[in-house]
Amino acid sequence: MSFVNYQTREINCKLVYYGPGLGGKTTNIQYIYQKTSGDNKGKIISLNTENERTLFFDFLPLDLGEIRGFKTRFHLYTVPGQVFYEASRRLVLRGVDGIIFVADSQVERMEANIESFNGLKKNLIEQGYDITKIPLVMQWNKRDLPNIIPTEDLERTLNTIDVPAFEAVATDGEGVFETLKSITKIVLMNLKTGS
Amino acid sequence: MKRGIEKLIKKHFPLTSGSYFFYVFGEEGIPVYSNSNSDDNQSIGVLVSGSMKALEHLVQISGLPSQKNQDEEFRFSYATSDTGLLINDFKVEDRNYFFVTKFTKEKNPGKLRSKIRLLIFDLATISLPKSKVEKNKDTKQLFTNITDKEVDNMFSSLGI
Repeated sequence: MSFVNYQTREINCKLVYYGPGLGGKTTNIQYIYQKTSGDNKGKIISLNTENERTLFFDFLPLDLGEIRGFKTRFHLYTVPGQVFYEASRRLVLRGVDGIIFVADSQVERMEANIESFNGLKKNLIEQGYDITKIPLVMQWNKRDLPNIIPTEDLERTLNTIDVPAFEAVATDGEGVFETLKSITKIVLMNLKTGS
Repeated sequence: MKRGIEKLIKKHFPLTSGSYFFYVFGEEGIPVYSNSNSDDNQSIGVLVSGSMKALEHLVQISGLPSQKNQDEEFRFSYATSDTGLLINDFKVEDRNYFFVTKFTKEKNPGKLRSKIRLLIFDLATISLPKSKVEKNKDTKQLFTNITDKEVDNMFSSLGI
């Protein structure tokens, strides 16, 4: 989706938070929304079910200031995590510039993490992306809970392509901006000139 | 492009100032034009984009012929007899756009739809100078060696 407008010197990019249901994707962008000053953010849109589970996507537009004379605007999306919503996840992934995979660190959610990551790989291939080339970072969320998987095991099982990974407690904001900064940098470095 | 769109709207709707609101969004919901100064334009764009993607997919899996095989484009209407939203898509130089019309108290919605179809036909002829807006092609990197400090500076504008 990335568009570079050379006349107005603006860059638009699309980031997608992907991962298993109840892993903390929406919590990440809600925290970003809460902590961001008013002029730099648009309205957050959440298409939810009645019990606040993501039905289609959450969306947050964010103006991230300037880099080398270009204004940057990032569009943050989440996908619905529940297995049932595979078709919606595919739609949200269209035109993606960067992905944050939010894994749930709890032992009992490891199967869900693996299933979701395999789904991500499959969906990217179907849309012509190469997971080894698209900007991707991992977030090991819920590190504050008991019964969590050691990060070494998460790395070995999920981070097989060795992308940057961050521990997080999204409910407290821990790791949220570190993850966003990392994917922002990788996405910007991946932009092409088109000239 | 904004001026071109405005000119065409005035051509097709010369005496309807304030009766309708028109919006043009890029495929991903990025606002390109609007005669509404509302803060909600970005939100409308992303919802239009998401809705249309879902509808296109619905058409595909329903087994209906894809609009690429039809002379006439699909359009989306969410409206009562006199109030609602119309969404049409159009292409300019291989890029997809959505044209959204918001109307209220419309006495002749059939005529409105017909006028919008003519407007859409004209919109598709607007030329978009390639030097001004370019979709990224796989050539060379726009930025090299971005430092962590530069990224921190970007985020400092957020108050982070």
